[in-house]
Amino acid sequence: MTADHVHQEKANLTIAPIYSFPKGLPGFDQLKEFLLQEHNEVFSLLSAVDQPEISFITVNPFDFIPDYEFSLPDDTMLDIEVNNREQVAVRCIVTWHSEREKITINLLAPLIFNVESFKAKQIVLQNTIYTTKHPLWSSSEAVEEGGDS
Amino acid sequence: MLVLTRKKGESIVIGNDIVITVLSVEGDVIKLGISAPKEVDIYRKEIFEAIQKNNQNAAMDLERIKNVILDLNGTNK
Repeated sequence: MTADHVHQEKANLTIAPIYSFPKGLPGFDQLKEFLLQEHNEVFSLLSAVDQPEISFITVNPFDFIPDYEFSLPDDTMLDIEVNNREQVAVRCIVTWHSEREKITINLLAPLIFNVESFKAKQIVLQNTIYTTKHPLWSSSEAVEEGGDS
Repeated sequence: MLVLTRKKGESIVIGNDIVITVLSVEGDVIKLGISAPKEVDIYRKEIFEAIQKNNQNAAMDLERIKNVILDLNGTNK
């Protein structure tokens, strides 16, 4: 399970490429192709190519949680054909809520993009304190309630 | 559902290349060893279901997302 240490990736996502998720996205297994659009400096939008009603707000987690870190599993590197860290971009799915403080980011299952092969996968971190519902704007490092890990 | 009885150290084989071995049993805690090809993803079920549910809750219509983000602009970070 050791691999390149993923931290503070800098890969540019300036165009709006279509990424292939060979294994789909959990909960939407039938959808394999997603468009990743930069919306502004903070938010990018991940939309199912065939079903734009299935779209997600995503952010670069390192913009919000600077010390977020994990190791990319070997099997993931094979799945999306990663050979070096320059190919890797990380985004996390945001669950929007009308109350700003209830907006959360899924740190337990980051999206890993290979910006060269245009393959991507949502991975599930093992043995981690991260949860699917980390407050997006909280700077608190306290362990949040409702842990999924 | 197929039901099998196994003892500590015994295994079951699924297909040609997935082997699940009972490593230890202590009370109601069972430790399993799983050998599977790298392309087979293995998750704890409740965690995988939490990810599925979280994704389904997070999914929104693209147009709605754009409106939502407009509302957030100015309050970013």
